[in-house]
Amino acid sequence: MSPLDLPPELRSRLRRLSIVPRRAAVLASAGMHDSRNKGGGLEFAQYRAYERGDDLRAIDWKLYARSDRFFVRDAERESPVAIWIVIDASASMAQADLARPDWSRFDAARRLTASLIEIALYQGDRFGVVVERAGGPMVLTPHADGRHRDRVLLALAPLKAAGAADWSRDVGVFGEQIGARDLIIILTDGFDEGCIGTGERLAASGRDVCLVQILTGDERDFPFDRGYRFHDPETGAELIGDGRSLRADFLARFAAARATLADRLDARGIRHVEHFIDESADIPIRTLFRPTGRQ
Amino acid sequence: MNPALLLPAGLAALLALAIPIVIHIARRTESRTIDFAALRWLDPQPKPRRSLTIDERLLLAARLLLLALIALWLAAPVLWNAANDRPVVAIAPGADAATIAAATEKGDRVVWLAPGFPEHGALTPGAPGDVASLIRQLDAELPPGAPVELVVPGTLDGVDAERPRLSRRVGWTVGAEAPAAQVASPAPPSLTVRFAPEAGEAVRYFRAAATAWIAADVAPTFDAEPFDRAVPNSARHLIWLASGPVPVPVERWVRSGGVILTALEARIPVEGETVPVWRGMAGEPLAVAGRLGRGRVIRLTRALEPAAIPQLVEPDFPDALLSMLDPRPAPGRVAAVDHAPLTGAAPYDQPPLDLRPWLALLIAVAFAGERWLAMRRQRAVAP
Repeated sequence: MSPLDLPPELRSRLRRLSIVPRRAAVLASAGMHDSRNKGGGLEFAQYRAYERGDDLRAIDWKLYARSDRFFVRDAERESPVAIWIVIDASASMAQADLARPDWSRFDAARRLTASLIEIALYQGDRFGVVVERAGGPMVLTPHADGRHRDRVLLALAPLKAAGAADWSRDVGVFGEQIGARDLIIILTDGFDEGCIGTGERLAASGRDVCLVQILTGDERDFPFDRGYRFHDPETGAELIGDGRSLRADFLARFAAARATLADRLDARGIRHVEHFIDESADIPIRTLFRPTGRQ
Repeated sequence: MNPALLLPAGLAALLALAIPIVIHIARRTESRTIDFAALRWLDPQPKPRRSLTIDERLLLAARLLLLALIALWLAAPVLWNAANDRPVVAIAPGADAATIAAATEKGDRVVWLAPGFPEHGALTPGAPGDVASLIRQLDAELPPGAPVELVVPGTLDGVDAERPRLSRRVGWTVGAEAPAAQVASPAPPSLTVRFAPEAGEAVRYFRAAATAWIAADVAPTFDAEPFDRAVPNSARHLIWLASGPVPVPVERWVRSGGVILTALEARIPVEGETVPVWRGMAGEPLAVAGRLGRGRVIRLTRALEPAAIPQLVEPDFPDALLSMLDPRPAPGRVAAVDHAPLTGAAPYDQPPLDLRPWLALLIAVAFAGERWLAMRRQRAVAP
């Protein structure tokens, strides 16, 4: 199953979720939920002909009754907040589980992206995507309609995770493209120091940064029960060892490293969540944007 | 019941158990490479891995079981004294129904006293066989502790000259006297004589004997012709009075069951030993008999003239000729009460129960199980 096609049960669960910026001020401002609150608060800009992909709710049915044609009311103002989804496409993201070799970390990131876009579209928020690749970032600037979603998914479909991304080189691109009040969701495995550093710099500049650390089930369970040659795809380092003798030590060290990362992100005010690729994509979104009082 | 091995050296095949164990010891250790991005949190100096790991223990167990069963099969396992000690009632064919019913109502194992000892419920065997021999066979085939009850008719036919001597004391139930069958006395043989011209003198002795065998007012069936005439197929007894080898058609006729008496000068092959069947006054053999195919050959050892064989002109020559050509069976009928078996024979060793057919069945099941385990779909690739 393609990571960009959302299964129906996941789609129905996503309906109950929302992407919430941290700052209440942004929530209070008009336009965050403009697609739901069409009415007096919005400035009417123009009518335009209905096109495929337009939201059916945007059709002016009274005008349809008069003219027998579909017209869509275009709003003048856009939501002040754009949702930026930053995807790490370095080679470590291509790692898959032993039990399910055709579902990599990058596939989970793409499914998470499609889910977030679905929610953003439903909320009427603008969404943009940055894919951080070894050859440089691929930037899809934010828009808020179904056609933009299709464009984004079409761009994501052929991508492969490979090479080592140079985050410090591209941090300037992030600063130029991403607005000061925008919400940034970074999808990464968190093993790359440059990625964490970029997130910290963005957070330090006042942007609202979230980080989803995508981990494989093997990193959680370490199910290797015999000897393997472990290979790091980014550095090329290799280690030969028996899984059973490595297991306890690895689990302890890895848990400590995750806790260290969590403390570091907390200290910078970055909301973060761990997502295992054998879990459903709605779980990290629900955890990430849970009301703060219930945490 | 004592289990034992007839060929304990077959257990050396147990050495083959090492083969699947060697196959199943995991040798492919570091052969598989996997991507693992969290490598920096792995211990760079891992403890030496466990030296011995076994793959697919269930399949290994099935293979070991299969090989152990095969080794046991090669060692020829048997079970001594496995025969059951159930009482046996053996019924000789011809015993009357009332006696059979009385003897078989105790629920014992009931067999016919017939070749193969078929169960009594099966169909009745035909002609009664050699009863004494069957009794001895039954005694030898049963374990020493099994009680035996024999049910016989009032008169036994075809018994030996001695009462059977068995290894155990058997019950001997004699039924009612069966009505004696009327046995007609056999008709005297009809002689066929083929003679050479120079031996024509001797034909008269045989014509005289054939005439003496029957009543005075009946013409004897006597066929005397020169020796180049064919022998009719209906003839049973042939007197050959010519020198030189017997012609091939006559020899073929003997082989198919005829009885031939040849003169001294005739030559005919004989299979096996010859025994004297006619002796002179001093005990010297006058004729010897042997077999040829299914027929009998009687050769005179002297010239056929009264000077060489004085008995030719004695009055008992027809009887001597009749007993040579058509020997009478030995007497074999006795009243069953007088023929109860004796005891005192040494008990027979019972053959052990061979367990190999059952073991072969187990081997087949184990093999099927091993194949199933080895060929199911969710199995790993090796070994």
